[in-house]
Amino acid sequence: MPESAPFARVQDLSAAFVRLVEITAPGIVTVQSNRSRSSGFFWRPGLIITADEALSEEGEIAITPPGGDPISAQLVGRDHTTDIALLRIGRADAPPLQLESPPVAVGALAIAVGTEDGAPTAAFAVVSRSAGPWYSLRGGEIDARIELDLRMRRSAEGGLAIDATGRAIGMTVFGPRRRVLVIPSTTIQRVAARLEKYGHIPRGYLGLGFRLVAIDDGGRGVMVMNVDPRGPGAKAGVHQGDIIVSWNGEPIRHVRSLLRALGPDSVGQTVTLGLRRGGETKDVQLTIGARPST
Amino acid sequence: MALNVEDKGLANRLTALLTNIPGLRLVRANESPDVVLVLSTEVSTPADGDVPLTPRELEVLTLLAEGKSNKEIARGLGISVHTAKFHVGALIDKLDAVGRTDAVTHAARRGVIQL
Repeated sequence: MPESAPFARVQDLSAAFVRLVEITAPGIVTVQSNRSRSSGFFWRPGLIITADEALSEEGEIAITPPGGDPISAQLVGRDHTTDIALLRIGRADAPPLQLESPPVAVGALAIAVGTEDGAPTAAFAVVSRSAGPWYSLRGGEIDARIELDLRMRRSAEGGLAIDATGRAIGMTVFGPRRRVLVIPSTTIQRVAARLEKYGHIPRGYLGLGFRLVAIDDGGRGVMVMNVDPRGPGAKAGVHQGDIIVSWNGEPIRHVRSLLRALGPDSVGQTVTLGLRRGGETKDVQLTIGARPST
Repeated sequence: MALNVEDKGLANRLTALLTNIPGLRLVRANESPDVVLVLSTEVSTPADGDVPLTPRELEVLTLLAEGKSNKEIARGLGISVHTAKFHVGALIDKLDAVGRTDAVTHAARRGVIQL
């Protein structure tokens, strides 16, 4: 039919997107927790990743694989700083999805695949932002800032963003004002591997309360406002009123830099803190502890 | 009770209002009160370039900056997880609206961060 010829390319594009959903959907599951429904995907045999923010804080969790019945799932661990939660189910027959980290160009097409009641859902997007590593408001290290220009249904949170070649580039979650962010594959692999091994993401702990202060002779530091009597800071001999001006010889300009120095790998490390105490300078050795869960 | 209000006009109006309430008595200059009424001026005085935040938002911000989860924030403030989530969402939107997404810097300038 000659009339259809001009539409052939649009039909090809449409068929290509249908195919992208077809190859992804078998790995996407519905995640149900107390008063919340979202999506998740098979990461490794028997292990499912979903968005932490969409998962209830308590109660039973169930997942529904494509076309199947709900199965009870156990929480392996969750990290609210990177919005990643790991679940386990008692069977490992579903094929995990391959996560990949190709370069993501602004303007590239992508599709967000989720589920609702065990049936796939899809949304079509343009990559609206693609930038380097960033830190979430809660201090989680996220390897790339990828945003999709798309209006996503709530139930699709925790699903996957698929690029035009069918590669899963990361998990779709909601950012500020319901913008859709992608938690990149690299971040998921790193965090989920830790969750699988330890059940949580350890964070460094000093046992000190800080406030940023300007120092009279110029520069900045953080003043110790309170000391946990059983914390690492107290053990190292840090006192209330001390001003910490350096960390392993590096000047401290922001509390933020302290927070970043207290990442998962910091626990057990010994650092040299440069203090100002009553106008005198003093170095102390502090062994970073693990933040107690409250 | 005693009043600690700088604004003279407001102090006089409050005094008039509180004088005739049964069971309530404003103390004399040399008496010690059971209750002191203080007018907080903190809400309306954000530091240079800071986003104006309510006292509750500031509390949430501090906990957020410490890397606390919604559940921990709820427990810390004695509110429900649902309410904590709402506050966190509103705060993130507010900071994002003015292009400031660094919770830690905000919180550390205004309060004490426990690390």
